Amino acid sequence: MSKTINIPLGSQHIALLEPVHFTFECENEHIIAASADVGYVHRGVELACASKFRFKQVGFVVSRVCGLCAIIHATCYTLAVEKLMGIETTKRAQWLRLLANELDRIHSHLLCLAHTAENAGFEALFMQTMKDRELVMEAQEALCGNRVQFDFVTIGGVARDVDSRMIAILREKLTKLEQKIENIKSMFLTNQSLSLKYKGIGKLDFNKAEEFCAIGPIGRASGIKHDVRAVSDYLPYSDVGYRLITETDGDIHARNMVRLRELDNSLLMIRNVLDGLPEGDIAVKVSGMPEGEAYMRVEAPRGECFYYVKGVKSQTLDRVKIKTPTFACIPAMIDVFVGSDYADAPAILASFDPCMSCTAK
Amino acid sequence: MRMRPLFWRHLTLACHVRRSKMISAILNTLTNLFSKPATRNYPFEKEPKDDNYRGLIVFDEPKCIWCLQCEKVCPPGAILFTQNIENGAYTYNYNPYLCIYCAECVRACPDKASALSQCDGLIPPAGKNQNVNDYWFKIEEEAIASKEEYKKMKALKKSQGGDDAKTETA
Amino acid sequence: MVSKTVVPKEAIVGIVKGFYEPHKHHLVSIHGVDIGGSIEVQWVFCEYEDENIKAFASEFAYDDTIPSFRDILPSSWIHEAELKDMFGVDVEGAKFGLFLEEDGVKAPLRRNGV
Repeated sequence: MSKTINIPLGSQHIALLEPVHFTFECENEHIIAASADVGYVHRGVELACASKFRFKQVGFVVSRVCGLCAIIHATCYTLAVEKLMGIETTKRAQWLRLLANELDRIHSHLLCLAHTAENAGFEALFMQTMKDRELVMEAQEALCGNRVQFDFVTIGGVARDVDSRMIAILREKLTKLEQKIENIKSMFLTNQSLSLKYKGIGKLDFNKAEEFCAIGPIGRASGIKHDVRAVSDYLPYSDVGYRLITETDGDIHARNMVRLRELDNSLLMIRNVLDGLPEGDIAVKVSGMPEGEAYMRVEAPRGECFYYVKGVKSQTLDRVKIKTPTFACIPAMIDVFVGSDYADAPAILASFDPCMSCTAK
Repeated sequence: MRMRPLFWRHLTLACHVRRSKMISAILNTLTNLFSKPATRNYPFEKEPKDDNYRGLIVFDEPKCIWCLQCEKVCPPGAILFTQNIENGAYTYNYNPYLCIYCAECVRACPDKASALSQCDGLIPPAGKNQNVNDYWFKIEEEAIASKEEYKKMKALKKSQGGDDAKTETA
Repeated sequence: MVSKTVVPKEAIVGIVKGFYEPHKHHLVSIHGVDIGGSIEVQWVFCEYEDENIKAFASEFAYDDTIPSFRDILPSSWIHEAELKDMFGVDVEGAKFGLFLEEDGVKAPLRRNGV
């Protein structure tokens, strides 16, 4: 029996952006066992939604579960309640919701790529990616009025309308962004020091990924053909040119490539939305109270986000269950750690794109 | 001086085509060395805000019809009305530090009144010597208590007024 | 297409094991709903390549032991730990303490308190 030591990757660490604590049992710097503590930012959102707030206000509460995928939570909850109450929104509202969701996906993927580059030691690429991400944040500020918490989706439609000035700003910023993303992509593809850090490291092969039910870019990089946007029509994705993107290797390089190719697809979809935005109202009137149960799934930047909403014909809901993508990928992440080197742990962690405020709601 | 970074950029692109990565990396470094920084020179340069930025809520008192819908829909409870015990008139209280600037109150205000609107102003952060919390906690208690007292007083007056009418007719 | 099936609690293990195929389905969520006096636990599955959500539900009393599916679904340990924390019920093999502290509030999602 050789000796093993326990090394913590604590909640305070130079490579960590998220409050999570890992304990690695290492033998000569090879990790042979891992355990995680993920509940640092538990705020009791599910209990608050079912007791303290009315169902029309829960959309705002639920946005504040996460800062990166705020609008995804609001969209999923709103679609679940609209399903319960039998409300049909206008076409213009659906296309505007799609526009906001895809802008959110771009800014979230750019943040993850920047963080992955930072953990590999390439701080210059991290700063350049963050500088390019500012274009998206300004576009979101023009559309929704705020950079992070949008409060854009309401029950029955959306809150604000776009006019020609906003569309011109969006087009200008996205044209600039396309060129910048090409530069970033060529860096990730051809830079030799990054490929030493990424290729072959942190592999999650296809069978393990299916066993652990990995979802999102992590599952797609291992070859699982799973995307909620491909099979469900919660928003008109088939009208704007959506494509399912998979890779086969399952290592960190494959996950980065999935995210980069999804960025290109999102830019194409936004351009199609701006070209073909239908006319009409942005919201319908809502009356009545929700009664019954509803299940709703939506594709967040990190995977599949699931909501279960139960109403009992009163202003307060009975139960709101939130299942976030990082919560479902934590078992797969711990499995990938086992068998890797301790020195690769920060890069693997960043490539999994964890969002701890989503996990510990 | 402005032509110089463009020249370096073209040379970098040419080197990319020739796959000379080392030289293109060096040229990239030199380009970045001689170009403007990407950050703004705060506090001398202010952050530009969009025209449609979601800012403070503005209350236009003459137009208000006192339906209290905005108080009901506000998610964090940043608008509260306290009621005067003598004449039942309402007073509008708004807490800009609790507000999330979602504009639900603006949408809830009925069309015939339109007393609320959103501007793009902001408030500076509250310093330590501004008792924001204590002042607002008092208003929260007063909002509930004053409405209940007024309701009780009205009910009392109604029952007293009914008794008087009965004694008169009798 | 969404479908929910309520099964008696003795039969849930057999039914889920007979239904789940690793290449076709993935586990979406395991959660509980307090229906007044007992807890309804739901196991939600969905297909990879089609939109068919299938939910199995069983009613358990507060002091029952809920079976675990860790042998066929290795990633279910995190869902079961959350279920144990939030409702204060006993789940096979789950440890307390994923979200809540030892000296904090117990079983917050139960309707009438512990």
